[in-house]
Amino acid sequence: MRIAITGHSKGIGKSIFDTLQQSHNCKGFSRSNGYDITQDADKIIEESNDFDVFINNAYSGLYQVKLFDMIFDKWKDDPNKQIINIGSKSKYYPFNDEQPQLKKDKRSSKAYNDNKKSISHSIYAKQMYLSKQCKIITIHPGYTRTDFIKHHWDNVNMIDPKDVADVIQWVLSMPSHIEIGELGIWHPREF
Amino acid sequence: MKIAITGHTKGIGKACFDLFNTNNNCIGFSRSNGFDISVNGVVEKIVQDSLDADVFINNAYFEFKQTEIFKHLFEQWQSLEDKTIININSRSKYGVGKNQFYASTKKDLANTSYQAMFNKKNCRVININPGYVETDMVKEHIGKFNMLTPSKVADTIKWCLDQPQDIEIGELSIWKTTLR
Repeated sequence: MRIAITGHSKGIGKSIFDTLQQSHNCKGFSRSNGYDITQDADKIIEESNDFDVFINNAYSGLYQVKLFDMIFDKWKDDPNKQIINIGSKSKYYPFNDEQPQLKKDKRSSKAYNDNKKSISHSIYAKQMYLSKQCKIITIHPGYTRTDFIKHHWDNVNMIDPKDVADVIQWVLSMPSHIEIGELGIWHPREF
Repeated sequence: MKIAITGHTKGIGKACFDLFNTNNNCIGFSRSNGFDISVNGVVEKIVQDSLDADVFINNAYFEFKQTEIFKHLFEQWQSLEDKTIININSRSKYGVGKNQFYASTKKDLANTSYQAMFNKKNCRVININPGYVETDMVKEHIGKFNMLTPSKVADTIKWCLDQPQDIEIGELSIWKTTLR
C-alpha cells in the first residue's frame, strides 16, 4: 500500500512511519522536510491524493480537523481509500489539571484536550451521518513514551509508540469491508 | 483462563462462548440456564458466581442491567491486576439509530465505564462497539443493512484480550465500511 503520514519525524508518527515502511511505500510530511500542516495543507493533500492511506497524525490546534475535512472531500466515494486519524485518550474526559499535563503550560494543555474532542466529534459527523465509501479510523492513544512528555516518564505508566504502530498495522490488515471506526489504546494502570 | 459470559446461547455471546471454550474454561449465564438478568437479584448472583473468573464478558442486554452488572463487578475487581471486564456495547452509543431508548442504555454503559476506567484502577476494561451484527436481535433488518458476522466480533474480542496485560484496548468500534 502507499501510505502518507503527517508528522513522521517524531514521536508516535515516527514509530508508525518506521514500522509501516518495512512493508509499505510510505511518504512523510513534517516541518523537517518542508511541510507545516498550519501552512501547507493544500500541498500535503494534493501530494497525498494518489496514496491508499492517509495518516492524519501531526497535531497543531484544529489543523487536524482541516486536513481530515480536505482529504475526506477527495476520498469519500472511493472504497479503496483509508483515513487514519490520531486522536487522544484525553478526548474522553474533561480537562483535569491535577493530571500530568501534556503540554508546556496549563492553557495549551486545556486547548489540547478541547481540540482532541473537537477532532473526534468532527469525524463522527462524517463517519456516522454521511454515506461514504472510504474507511475512517480514529486511534486514541493514552500517555505514550515520546519525547514530548519525557518529564512524565517516571510518574506515569505509558504505552510505547511501537504499540500504537502495531495496532495501526493490525487495523490495516482488516478486509476492505470492515471498518475499525474507533480504537482506544493505553496502559491500564497509568497512575 | 476462566471466562464468564452472559447471554452465551445466542448471537455475539454464543460466538464468544464457542470461540473461547476450545482453549479455556467458559461459564455461561443465560435465561436458558436460569439466569434472566431482568429478574431482581440475578445480576448479583451472576457477579458472585463469576468472582473467580479471569475474564467477564458483559454481553446479555436488558435495559440498564449491563451497567448494573458492570458496577457490581468493577467494585469487586478494580484492585486486581489480572482481571479483564469486556463490555459489549454498541454503535448506538454514538446516538445513531432510531431506537433512542436502546441508545440511551448503551450511552449509560459507556459513560459509567469511562468514569470507572479513568480513575485509578488495576483491572482492564475493554468496551466493544459493534455496528449491525447478523443476530436474532436485528433479524428484521437482515438484508437491509450490511452486517458483521458474530464470529468476526468474537475474533476481534479475542484480539483485544490477547494483548499483553499492560495494554488496554479501552474502546474498539467495529462495523461494515458501508452501511448499505
